[in-house]
Amino acid sequence: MLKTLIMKEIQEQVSSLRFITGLILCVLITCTAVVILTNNYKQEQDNFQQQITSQNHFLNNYAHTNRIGAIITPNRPPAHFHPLVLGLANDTDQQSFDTDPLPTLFPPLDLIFIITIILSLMALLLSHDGVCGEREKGTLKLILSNNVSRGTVLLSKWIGGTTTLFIPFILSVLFATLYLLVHPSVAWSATDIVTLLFLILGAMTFLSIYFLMGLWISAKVKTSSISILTALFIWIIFTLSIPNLSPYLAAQCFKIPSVNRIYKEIRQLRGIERDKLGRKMLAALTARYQSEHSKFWNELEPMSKEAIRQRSSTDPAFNTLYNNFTAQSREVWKEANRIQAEKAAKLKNNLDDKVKVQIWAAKHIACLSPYANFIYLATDICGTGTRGQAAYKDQAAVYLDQFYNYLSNKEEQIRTKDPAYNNNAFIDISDRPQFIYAEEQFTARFNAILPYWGVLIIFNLIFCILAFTAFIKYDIR
Amino acid sequence: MLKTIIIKEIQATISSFKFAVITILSTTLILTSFFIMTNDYLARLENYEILQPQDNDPTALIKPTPLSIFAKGLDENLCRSYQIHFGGQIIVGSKQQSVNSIFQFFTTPDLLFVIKVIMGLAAMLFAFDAIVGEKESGSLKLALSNSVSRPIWILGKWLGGFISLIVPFILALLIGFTIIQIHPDIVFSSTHLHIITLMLIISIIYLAVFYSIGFMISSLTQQTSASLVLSLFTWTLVVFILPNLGNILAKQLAPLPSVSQLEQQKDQIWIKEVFERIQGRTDPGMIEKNINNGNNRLMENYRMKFNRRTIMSKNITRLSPASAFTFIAIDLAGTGLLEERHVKQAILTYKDLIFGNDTDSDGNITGITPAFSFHRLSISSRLNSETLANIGILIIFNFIFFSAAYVAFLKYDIR
Repeated sequence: MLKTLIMKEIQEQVSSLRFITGLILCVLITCTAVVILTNNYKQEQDNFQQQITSQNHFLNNYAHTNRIGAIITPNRPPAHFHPLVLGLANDTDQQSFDTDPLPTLFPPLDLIFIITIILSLMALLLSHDGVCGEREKGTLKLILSNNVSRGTVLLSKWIGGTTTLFIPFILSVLFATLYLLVHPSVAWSATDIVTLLFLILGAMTFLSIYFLMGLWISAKVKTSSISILTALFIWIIFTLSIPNLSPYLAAQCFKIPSVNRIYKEIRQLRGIERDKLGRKMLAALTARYQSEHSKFWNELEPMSKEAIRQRSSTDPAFNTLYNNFTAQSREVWKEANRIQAEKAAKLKNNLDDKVKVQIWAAKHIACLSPYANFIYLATDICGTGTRGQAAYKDQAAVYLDQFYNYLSNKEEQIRTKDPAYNNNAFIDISDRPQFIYAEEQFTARFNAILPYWGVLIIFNLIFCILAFTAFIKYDIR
Repeated sequence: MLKTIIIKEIQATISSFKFAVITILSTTLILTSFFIMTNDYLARLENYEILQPQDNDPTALIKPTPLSIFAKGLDENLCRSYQIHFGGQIIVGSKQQSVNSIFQFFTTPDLLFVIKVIMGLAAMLFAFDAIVGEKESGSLKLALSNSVSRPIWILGKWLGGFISLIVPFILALLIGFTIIQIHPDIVFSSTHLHIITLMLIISIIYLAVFYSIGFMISSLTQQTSASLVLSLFTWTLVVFILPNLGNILAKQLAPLPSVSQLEQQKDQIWIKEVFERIQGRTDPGMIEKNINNGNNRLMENYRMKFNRRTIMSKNITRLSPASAFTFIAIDLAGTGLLEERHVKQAILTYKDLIFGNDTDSDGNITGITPAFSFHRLSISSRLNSETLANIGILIIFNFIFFSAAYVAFLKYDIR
């Protein structure tokens, strides 16, 4: 009987105007969006390659230790999933005089948008008259006069309805995937395909919530017009209100001090104040050398770099003293850097702690809505969300440590050959380690999305129970 | 007769379930939006006070506008701090929201969003069964069996339904606005009040477009269920798909370098010049000038491409009334692309004014520096030809959809 009811449900839904309109709209929009986004992805890849080439060319000609920090920026390649799931922009932290403001005004269209807006609305359209519509037509009485339980009827509506709902979704994803697989700019691995499968499963869990919500409302009211209005009311609250309000609410409840002011203070601590401290410490070191090694100092002061090189090669005592002095000078700057970095880190950590609380609150307030849970699930599994951003930052930090170790060794090697070397001189770093961004392991991404998936399943269970209890008590007359 | 039809329509609408649901929802959302965005504005104002430049601090800082409570647009972007640095470089301060990435996932819940998205939907829900619903209930036959012409009847229906939609909307706005005005830190000048009035009128024109679309669909269909489905999908298409699709299409047709690419090039310009100077390859007196010229060339090139993209994006997205309305609202509020261009021009002029001052070892400009002075665009500049063209587009949309509804209704089979 269940199978018959499911088939009846699918046949009815598939021949309805809402299904046909939804199917056409969904497939057309998805295909158009994927074609455009894939071309944009190609542009992003080109931009990324140009950036790498430009950086290498620049370093080959102008690399010097003093300003290396501004040039050695580990670049993040565009995520494989950008043609489907845009998520957060790669340069989201970067402040520039010229930024493209259009995405602020019109959020870009991607597969996630199609799932969360078009398909969730379609889910409500397919389910809002599931029970009350049958009552209005008089068919509910007829169905229940057979030897079939209310639970079976509801189950058949859910299975039949969601199966119908998934047809446009699966078709859209199928067309999009085929296009991506044949596109020369997209090199998807087997892991990416598995990721896509989990994204599809997540989307199905998400859409099922809206379907069940529609069924529940349908089993609570008498007419389908009231049902659709109520369903849209809840849809607006879930999709357009709670998520959009959440970061603002969190920002107002958990305030953070002026980010700009703190960054300015940090810049001062690591800039002017570091220089002041370094000079003061260097002056003390110089004074010590002047008093303890006055002869050496008086000889050194007027010497050019070339003269120092010659004298060091012929006079071992001078060489030792000079090397000691330069080594201690470097230690002085290192110490000044350490002290100021510690002060800056204290400020930064304090800010970060407050930011973490605010993000936590914003994220969890938004999780009251299935929409936000699905957004986090989709962007995290595809590596375009906050986790992807954090993974990049971690890898960039590790790379920079590795690079500075390399640079320090390189400088030591140069100094042994050239005692007069300083950090404003050109340094050949063509054999430096290269930054290669590796997307987070699939298992880590999968584990990270489990809580969001869990919440989506809980939403499903809640609406399922609500729909069942409402239908059990439903007056079918 | 027209008056009777209007009154009957108002009475029928306000006693309906949909009126109750939509009024409660829109009022709640408008008031919540006012509350949230007022607090957001106050936080930005507080931040602005904290960051106020001291004497001789070469920093440009723009005060947030209270109109951003209604249409925030790019105000957060515009009100960052812009510090002029060695070689005419502009160091841009961070946005307060930039540290919380959750903001990027979701849209700003300002009044513009509520009107554009939710009130747009409400307008369509008010209209989707205006004609087909009457047909289904059998009252259309009865109404037209009287001595009332179809044009009068449809006009009465349109006016009655639309009045029922906008009266609670205006009331909610007035309540919210009165509450905002009580706050001592929020001061609206007479110009602001004129702009708010103008925005309200344009909002009504915008809602009339959606109401007319709903009406048109209602007179083109034979069942309310079909009308509802088509209305909802049309709303999705007009409010979300066309503007957002247009934006990504413009991105493809008018490519722009990424922000990180641009910043990398800027860094390369100054580092190269400083390095060449240290190596004694360039004239020390030219270093600042070279950096400034290099940056200017880079920015001019970027702005040219950016303007191309903006024009393209505007032209494509204007196919949707929701986009035209967004552009009008943010440009009138002084938080749009028009004001963005004005702010950037003012900052570049300021940079040129203080360029060449002495700098310390960290590249900070020292000595006596004039303070940055800035005035937002006047109301007449905001109402430029582009804004007027967008208003014209909304009026044309109204005319087209109402005419289509009218023609369809004249041919409508009332049986």
